Amino acid sequence: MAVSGSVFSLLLLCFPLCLAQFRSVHDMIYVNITAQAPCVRLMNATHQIGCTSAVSGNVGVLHYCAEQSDVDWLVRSAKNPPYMPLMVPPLFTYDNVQALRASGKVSGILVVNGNRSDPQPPPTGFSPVHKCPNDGYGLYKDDPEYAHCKNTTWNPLGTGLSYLDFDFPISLLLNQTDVDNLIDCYNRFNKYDNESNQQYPLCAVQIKDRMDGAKDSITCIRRSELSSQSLNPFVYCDALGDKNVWGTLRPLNKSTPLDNRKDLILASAKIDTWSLFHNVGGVGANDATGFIALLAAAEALGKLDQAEKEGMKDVMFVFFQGESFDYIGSSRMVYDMKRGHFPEKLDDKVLQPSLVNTKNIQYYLEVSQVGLWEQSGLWAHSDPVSQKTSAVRDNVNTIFAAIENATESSNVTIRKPPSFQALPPASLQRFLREDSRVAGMVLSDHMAAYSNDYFMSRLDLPVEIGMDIPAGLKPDQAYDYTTKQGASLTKVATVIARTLYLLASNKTASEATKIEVNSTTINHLLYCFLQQANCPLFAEVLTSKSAAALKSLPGPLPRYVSVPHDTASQISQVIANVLTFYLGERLPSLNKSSECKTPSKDHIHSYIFMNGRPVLNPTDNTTSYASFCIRAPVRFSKAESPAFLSKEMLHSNEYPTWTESRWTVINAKIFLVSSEAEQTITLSVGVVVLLVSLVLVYFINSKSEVLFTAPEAAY
Amino acid sequence: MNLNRVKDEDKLELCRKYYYGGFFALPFLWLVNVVWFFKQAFIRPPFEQQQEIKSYIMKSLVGCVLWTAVLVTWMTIFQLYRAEWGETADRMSFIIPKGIA
Repeated sequence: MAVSGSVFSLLLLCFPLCLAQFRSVHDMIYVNITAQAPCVRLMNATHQIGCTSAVSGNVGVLHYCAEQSDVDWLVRSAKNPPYMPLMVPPLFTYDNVQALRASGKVSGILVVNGNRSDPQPPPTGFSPVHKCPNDGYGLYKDDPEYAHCKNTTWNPLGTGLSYLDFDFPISLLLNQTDVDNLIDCYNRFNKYDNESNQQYPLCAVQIKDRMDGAKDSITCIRRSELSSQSLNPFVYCDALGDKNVWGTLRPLNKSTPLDNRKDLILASAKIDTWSLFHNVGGVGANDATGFIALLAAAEALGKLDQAEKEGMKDVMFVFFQGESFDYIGSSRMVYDMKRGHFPEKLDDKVLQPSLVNTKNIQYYLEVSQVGLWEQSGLWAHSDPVSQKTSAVRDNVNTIFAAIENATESSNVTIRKPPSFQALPPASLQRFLREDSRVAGMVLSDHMAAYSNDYFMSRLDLPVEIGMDIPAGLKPDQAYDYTTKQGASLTKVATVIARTLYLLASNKTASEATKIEVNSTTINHLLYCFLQQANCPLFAEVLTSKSAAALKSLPGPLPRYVSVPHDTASQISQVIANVLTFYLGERLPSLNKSSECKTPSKDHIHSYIFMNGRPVLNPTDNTTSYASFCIRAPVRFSKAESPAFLSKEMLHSNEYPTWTESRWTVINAKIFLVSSEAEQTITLSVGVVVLLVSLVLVYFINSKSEVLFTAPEAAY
Repeated sequence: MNLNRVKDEDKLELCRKYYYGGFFALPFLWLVNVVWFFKQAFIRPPFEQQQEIKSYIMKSLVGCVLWTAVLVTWMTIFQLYRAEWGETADRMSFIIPKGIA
């Protein structure tokens, strides 16, 4: 872009400054935006969604939209496109974005990330995903009665904004200083009367986040493959995926195989969430209540003494990753189970857990969003189709009876939605899709439509689920503070723990009351997962290296599934460690990190050398850590869609096909742009000067004998 | 090579070689031939080999124009339909574009 006019004025302006210290021309022209979460391009088997800039970036005149009238002005009256609106949170709605897009006047959108304690959401709620989440990949794909949420619309506020394909960038500004800089620049240069013409120079923004992948997953995978054989290999996109975490109350061992026994109890929750903006941490708060409650329930059951655990049925906890994208985690686990590969193929040379198949599952309890149950009640959903079989119906009734018994002596009431209502989107749907004899229930805080007005958005924030930590608290006080959510989630977690206990043993409801989820545990988990990952619990249960890595993280861990690496993502790793901490046995004899390694032949347990709590040494005021070795039957399993295992499955429509495009640069900067007339004049003057000098040199050269005296003549 | 210092019979020989060379899918050789011998064929006063040189140059010119027409047509078709052809087009491409279908 031609900015020479403004460069000149800037040069004059900063002349005294430039004498004082050297700054490059680039620094004089541009102010960088320091932190942004862009909307990135994702693809599935048929579509591309998300955003991209042009190859050289998108430029637009900054327009601060603080009121709806500002947006309307852009759409109706603005005459000098392209513009780059900076929108406050309540204005960033589906309707506004679509109106701006249709006007063709915007080259990108910047969104202010509101204060986490006062996020200013749009008054009508905000959910950028579909009204029928994960449609087509669940149980009711072709069901005449229930397909496409015909029976119940789970997410009526869903607009599908996240699933649109934008040919311009949309970015969330994470740093308030950037927002202040932009507003300041806007007020100084762009605050012209809306009716009059623009006065140049104007404040403009450039965003560059070009995406490499395009069209659909099939295309970008094929291109990556073709390119890998070329001289210049290049990867266009990566399949989404990570690792599921699973653990059992007592180790499963292939020496006592499950075979055809149907007595396994499976409890699951999903870990991940998604928002339109890439990798924003600490969102999906109500989404997180499920796995937090399940972790706390695992702790309560893990405390039972060994003898009692031995007498119980096998209880397996599963934390699914990637469920937000058409059930990546559960579809892979079910696929592996069906092929007899779960947890892994049998191998005589190693110690292994017994194979687990969907037919071994007697009871399945899934914990979905449960954070808002005090407003809308606690509901146990089940699938009407599979319950036409009496065996399944009986088992579902047993689960419901267990939940009811578990709520005795607590003031929680569990209710069932009408029996004709379908299952809400849940991992259980993937299990039922393969094996209709799995009896399961999904626990949630909604009867029909979600209670959560911000499902799968950056606005599903802790404050919206009653995490009312007073502002002035120090981190260690906030860590222990019992929020409204903390108190209410403790009750749900206790119900879950007791339900699992009742299902796994032949105990009565009154005997189950000894199982109690510790409210401190819930407080800590909520704080660590939703407010601040650099917290005492995580510091204790992680290895010293991972704990150190968390120190630099300013907030909570992002829970976007992202793309698979050799090791699990931070969030899966943390959940695995917390689960190991809750279910494991300490091995005091192994007191060195080098001794506490999972034996290569033991595929049943994981050994982790946990960092431990800090211990202050009173003599010389140094801090050491009470590190310890712990072992638990907790393992990772692949959460990568089976679709990418073969071409047929990629085209089959049966498994999730989501990929994330690669990109090289993501940056954004503010600068002053001069009018087009000024830019043209500058360029023309330059060209004229060049031509004149060429002509001049030609004539001087041809008349050189006349103009210059030959050197010999001087003598 | 300065043509002025080459004998006329050698010029004809050179022109002929370039003309035949062009048949090995080397239209650029024809173009070079045309440019290089244009003066000899059309501007210089007549000489013994001029008629033959002239015919080679004319034929080279025609070949070159035909080639250009074919290439331009193909490139236009390819650019217009590349996205639509999908995999076939990707397999034909040496450099696969980034960020577009």
